[in-house]
Amino acid sequence: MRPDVCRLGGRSPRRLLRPLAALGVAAVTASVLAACSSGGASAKNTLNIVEWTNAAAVTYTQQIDALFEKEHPGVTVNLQTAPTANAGWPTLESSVLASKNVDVLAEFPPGPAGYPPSYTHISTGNPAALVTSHQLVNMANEPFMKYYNKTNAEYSAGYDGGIYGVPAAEYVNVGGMWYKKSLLAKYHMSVPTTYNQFIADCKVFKANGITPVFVAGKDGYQNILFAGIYNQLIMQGTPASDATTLSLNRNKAFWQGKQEWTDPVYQTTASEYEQVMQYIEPEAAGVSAQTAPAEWAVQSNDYPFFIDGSYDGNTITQANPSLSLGFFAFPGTNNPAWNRAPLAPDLTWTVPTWAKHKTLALQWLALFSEPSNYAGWVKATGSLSTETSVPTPALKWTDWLSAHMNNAYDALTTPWAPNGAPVDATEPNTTAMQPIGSVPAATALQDSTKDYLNAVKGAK
Amino acid sequence: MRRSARDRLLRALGVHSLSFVISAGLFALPIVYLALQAFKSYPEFLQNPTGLPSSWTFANFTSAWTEGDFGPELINSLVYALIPDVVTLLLGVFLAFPISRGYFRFSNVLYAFFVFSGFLPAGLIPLFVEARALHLYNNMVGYLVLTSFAGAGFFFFVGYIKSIPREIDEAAALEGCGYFRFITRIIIPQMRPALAAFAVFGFVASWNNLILPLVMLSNQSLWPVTRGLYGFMSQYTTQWPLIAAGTVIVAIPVLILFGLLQRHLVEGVAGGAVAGAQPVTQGPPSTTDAA
Amino acid sequence: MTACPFGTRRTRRWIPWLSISVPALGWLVFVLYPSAATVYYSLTQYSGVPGAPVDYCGLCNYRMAFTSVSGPTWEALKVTLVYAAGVTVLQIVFGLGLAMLLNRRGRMFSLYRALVFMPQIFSVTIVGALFSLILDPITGPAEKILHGLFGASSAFLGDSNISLLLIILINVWMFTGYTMLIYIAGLRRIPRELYEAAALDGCGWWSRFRRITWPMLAASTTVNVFLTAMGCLGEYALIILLTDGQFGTQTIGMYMFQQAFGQQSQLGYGSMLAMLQFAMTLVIGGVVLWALRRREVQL
Repeated sequence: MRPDVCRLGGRSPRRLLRPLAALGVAAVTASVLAACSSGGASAKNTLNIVEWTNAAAVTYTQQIDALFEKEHPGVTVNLQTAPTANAGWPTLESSVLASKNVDVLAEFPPGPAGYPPSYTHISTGNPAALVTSHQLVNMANEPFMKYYNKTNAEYSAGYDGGIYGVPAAEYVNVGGMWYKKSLLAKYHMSVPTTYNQFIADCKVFKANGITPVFVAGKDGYQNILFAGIYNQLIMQGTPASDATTLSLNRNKAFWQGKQEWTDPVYQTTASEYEQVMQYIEPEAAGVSAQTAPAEWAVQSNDYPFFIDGSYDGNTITQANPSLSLGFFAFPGTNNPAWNRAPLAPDLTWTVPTWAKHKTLALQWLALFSEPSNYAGWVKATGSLSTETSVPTPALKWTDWLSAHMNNAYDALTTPWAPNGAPVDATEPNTTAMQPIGSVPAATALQDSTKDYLNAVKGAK
Repeated sequence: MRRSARDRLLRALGVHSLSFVISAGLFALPIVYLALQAFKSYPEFLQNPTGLPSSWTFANFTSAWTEGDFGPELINSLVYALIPDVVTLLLGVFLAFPISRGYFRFSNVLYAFFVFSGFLPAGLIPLFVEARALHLYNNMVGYLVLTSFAGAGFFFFVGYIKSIPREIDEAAALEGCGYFRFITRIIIPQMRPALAAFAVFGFVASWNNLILPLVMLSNQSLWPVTRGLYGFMSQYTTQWPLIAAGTVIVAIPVLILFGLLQRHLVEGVAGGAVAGAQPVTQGPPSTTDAA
Repeated sequence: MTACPFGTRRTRRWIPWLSISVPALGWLVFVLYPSAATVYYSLTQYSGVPGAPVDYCGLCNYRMAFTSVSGPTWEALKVTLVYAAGVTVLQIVFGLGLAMLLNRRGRMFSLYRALVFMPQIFSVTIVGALFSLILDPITGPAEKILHGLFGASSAFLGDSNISLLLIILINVWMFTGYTMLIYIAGLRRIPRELYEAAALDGCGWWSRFRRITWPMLAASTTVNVFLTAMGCLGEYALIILLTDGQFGTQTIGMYMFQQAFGQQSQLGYGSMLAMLQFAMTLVIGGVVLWALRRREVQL
């Protein structure tokens, strides 16, 4: 080989090669370093746990992980998290499922309404699809399941006689509302038990220059109010044990066109909703759910009420430990007996049947379910207890909730909508509705009705 | 038209002020604002979100460093940005050269084919099913292979190569220079501006990539800073001072690197002036170009 | 077609093929296959959950998009066009303006250029978080300034009237540096003699710009317009972080991402949207490239 030949007019290629070579060496060194340090993590005994971000839940999960690693030397626990906001969680969930690289997967439980009947031809999303395709382990006969309230477990994770997840957490989601005890006391108010009382309280606050309600409009949390109202208007005094049947019948009625979003009960909901929304903070549409709890907590002299679920308890107390706060279900009706707390089963641990470390995963769940460990979990997350031997701890804000658990019920589920249907087919879009959006509530209801009917028609 | 020295000075001052206000005020100020929050404690931030820190604390930085594991992540980011960049660059030249010179009968078609393939709908889900089948999922080498071979360097190079005179090819070939040597020793040095432009573009794009690492890299030790910061932010959602500290930690080495290299970047992209070469992109080679 | 001058008589025919073999193979595996799979999935009602039935249904998704549930699809297409056009035009204007302002010698100007380029090196994660913080209507500095200077308030990203505009501006903020660099490269190629001749003729500043600078930058403009527009048409990461596609900011890329990865994932429908996006990119890219190159040739 004659090096002189391959040069252009005598210019030495070394001028270019030297920086390139330096970069090359740097890159190789870096990748070797990185590969060496990561070599340990792809060890054979890594238990992969995936859950969404709830600060308290994640921190406590990490504690359980540490405990597990101590009890099982040689096993590393790899916890991956992503926030539910901004598409983080669905992306992570889809990817670990597609790559079959997860052992313990947190899921929002499908509940009985998560399995639309076959005549709807709806292909469900996760985790119902996983259950029906036999990809989740049936835990009904696992020893640790005995700790859990059986009815509850069957409701959230049951299917065809089996139980496909561990119901770890339960909160009040729709209908949830926080309040500042000191502000209510200052104006001689008790927790409102009827809708009219709530509005009257708001008027008093407004007259005193205080903005009554705070809500994270950017992430649609005002929907918690809307859905809470129609839940109570529909449930009324129905016994909690009949809630599931009521929900299913409602879904069927929607599918058959017998119920629509323009029905009187939703019109009432919409008008009540609009009235409450007159009292929210200006520019609520720009407030994000991630910053809202802390922002609310810090303003001790403003915003007596906060529309949010009970899962944010710890975020709020962390931001302002000296705040005396409480939580109640928003009174959507004028009959105190109907203003009950709608419950939502939340984090459910599942184990895929193709998980690489199924035995380890089940052992992890067993550790988690031990009453002493589970008690720590409910204390940390503020969740309602789903284990029979572990009482829901009395945190400083749970007084109303504990007093009203006797008639609490599992919240209604949204009607079945065919694939590709617009978002407002399953529920009117409160982000488009005034005051967050620009569409009057009545029009939004009509839009939802139209979209739902079109979607169902298109699918049939 | 005579201008006094004073007028010239005022004019220069005006230009400098405007430049400073725009570059520092508009482009740098938001980052500075974020960095300032890192020096506040969380309660202080909640009480006073927009003011200057009253008591400058470093606690957030130490917490962020220990909780965030950013050191290895920065190295990962560097590797994930650098290696695919270089590989795609090389492969791009080897792909572009024959097409640009028209060595294939349907060079036009091939050109159009490859350019627009860059915009094909890249199904992420099929991509991971495939990556998993090829054992590319969740390991560093796999990720590098994935990102190195899906690059779009081609587009930048074809037009630029056309501006390099064909006579060089023939001269070199006549003297017995082999093809691969020719490309690496003669063509590539000639293509510096196009390569620089591509290198910068490719590096920044790879560095910034969040979705692909989120989806392809499960083990925390393999994460680049985008994924790490995202995980960090989602874990400490509202604690802006902590997040800001994490962001600063991630940004500082990048800034330093950028500061050292930026002159070369700008000169590299702008360097075409010296060689008097043609603009970076031209159309597909026309068949009439053939000798 | 030209013959390859390299190699011996025996190897000559194979050299071009060898040259493209590795990149072409990579292309086949990592670009063609996933795209082919996407085309296939767009013809199904596959939910994307592994193990779920694939449910081939022909053009059902396409039909749905253009008939019964057409609202969100057309809206997304419209938003995407506005977004791409807005970012491209603004980035060209600012990029060119900054290029002309900062294309001077000296260490200070080097610093200024670096500062303008700097936002790009911060990933989308950081920029998204940063502007979420700045534009918080309760605690953010933007609110403070707006209130302090004008006594007004705004929901910023939550206000459908300005949300898309804000995202356009943030995108421009992030990437103007690159446009500026390409224009600087173009500016430096303009021969000085042209300006000297114009000065002798007594041409004013605007005249010089219109007659010399702008036409001579035609090629740089082509590159910038093409890259920016193409980039925008596929953009969704920044939008996800800032508004999650609400308040009138759902581009076709975002809609596709939500359908493919959303809580009720419908990969079949999402793949169809990806095909729509591709078609749009092809059409717009083709038109833009053709128009700009024609202009280049004319000039």
